[in-house]
Amino acid sequence: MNYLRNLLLFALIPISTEAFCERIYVVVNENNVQEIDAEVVKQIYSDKVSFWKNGEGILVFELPVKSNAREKFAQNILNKSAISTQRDWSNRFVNNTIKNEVKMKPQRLVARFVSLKESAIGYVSESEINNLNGLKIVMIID
Amino acid sequence: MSIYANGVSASTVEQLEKRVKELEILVQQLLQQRKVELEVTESNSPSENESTYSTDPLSTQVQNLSLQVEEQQYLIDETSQVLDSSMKLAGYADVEYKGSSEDGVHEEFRMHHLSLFFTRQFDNDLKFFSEIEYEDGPKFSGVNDGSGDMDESSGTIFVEAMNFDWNYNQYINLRVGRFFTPAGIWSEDHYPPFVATQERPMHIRKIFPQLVDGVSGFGSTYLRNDISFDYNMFLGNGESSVSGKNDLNSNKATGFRGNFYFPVLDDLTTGFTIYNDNEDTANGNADKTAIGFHIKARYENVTGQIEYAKADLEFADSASDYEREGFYGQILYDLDQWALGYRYDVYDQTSLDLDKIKRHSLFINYHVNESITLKGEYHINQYDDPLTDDFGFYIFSISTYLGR
Repeated sequence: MNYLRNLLLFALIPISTEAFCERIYVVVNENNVQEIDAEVVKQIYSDKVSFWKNGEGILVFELPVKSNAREKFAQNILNKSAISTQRDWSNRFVNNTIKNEVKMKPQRLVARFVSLKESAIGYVSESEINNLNGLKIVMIID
Repeated sequence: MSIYANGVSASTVEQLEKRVKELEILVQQLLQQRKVELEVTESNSPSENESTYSTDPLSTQVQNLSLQVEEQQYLIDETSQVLDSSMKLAGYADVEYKGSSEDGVHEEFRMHHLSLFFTRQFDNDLKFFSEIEYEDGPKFSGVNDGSGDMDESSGTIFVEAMNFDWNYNQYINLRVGRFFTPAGIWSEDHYPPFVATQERPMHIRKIFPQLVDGVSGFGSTYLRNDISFDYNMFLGNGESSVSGKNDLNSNKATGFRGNFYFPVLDDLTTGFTIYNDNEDTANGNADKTAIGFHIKARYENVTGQIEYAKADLEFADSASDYEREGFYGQILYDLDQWALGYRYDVYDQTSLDLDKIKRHSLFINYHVNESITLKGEYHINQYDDPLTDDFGFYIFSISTYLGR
């Protein structure tokens, strides 16, 4: 009986991944003048919005699925796991409803590329930002 | 083909490309050196997790150089305005093991789908998309006597989608070709690696047609307070057994789907679909009008999804008129890589007969990773017709997405 109870308790407790303590910075190009809050970031990363308000297409950068920073971003902004968010992108691709094909890059390249492209948005962890040249931080996830 | 932007010389691009080549060679040399060292020290290979960089200086150097190569390649693309317009290949596959309590039905393995997607982005505005589906391990073998007769044929090869998109802006987009009917949720959102059950709700594809051969105009707009509205209107040949070439009548089917997104809960989408084909060849040339409503909501780990659809089919002889109706409600609970769910499903093929079916479905999913899903599902069919026995059936499956 105890065995069954323990099994049930185990099944009901979410298996948490190792906490990622670093801060995450959501960044855009320094010339981007859009008003960006958490809801806008959520809509961009859930593919509800694919254009900035000035009409320019949004260039969205994602991190690899196994990245701890992506897991933290997905949990905090989209309230789901990184695997779930990647499945959502793939699903939208195959059913041909995708609005904005995301680019998946390592963190260091995300910071570099966002600094180069005025229409880009991405996120990186604190330790991966060597300098903020060309970047504007629009949100910090603690 | 490379198109150079104004003010960027070809020599700049050539210099960058040369630099990339040099870096690639250097990376290969370092990787080779690393491999030799690993063999000597019999040490483990470094983790694939990008956040766990090795402290080995050589490994760090290799990682840095790899990033530099990718960075340089990106700079080339940016400065030369090269668009990656090569054709991309993706796909999915699934295999099932099925069994049923129905008399005379045996347990079986089913090589259900192997589907290939060929897509190409010609430029920022033009895109091609196609899906070729191989269902049930098709085999077609001809008699080698010049007669053209088939010796053996089984399974299905089906062009499920083939369309061109012109994406002008967020408000104005056009799609022409063959595409899944934009109706409700499951009509488009049905691919095995990404839905909870292999078995689809019963009314799907029976009230709104599976596919449209035609054209659609779609886009999205903001209403207020972050509420957005997606619209999709379409015009096509209508449903028939013959498609892809001839329209069997001069009438065209038309439809419209609207979707509202509300910034409440974690996700909330609700919408409606209307459809008319006033000479529906697939249903005895009936004048068919269908409406549907759908809602999908997620809060934390719980996702709920409901679809309702009803069609009125009117004939020259009004005594033959009937309605077709379907509904399902589904709830899914995500627990890390697991998902547990239940669905209640009702379908009434015609209002004239006792053919209403109710189905209860229980299912469990395990997401091995972002691409592979294992599923177990059990369904019980209950019939209004007292002459038809209720029965249950189960499906175990593995499905995988084959894209990146």
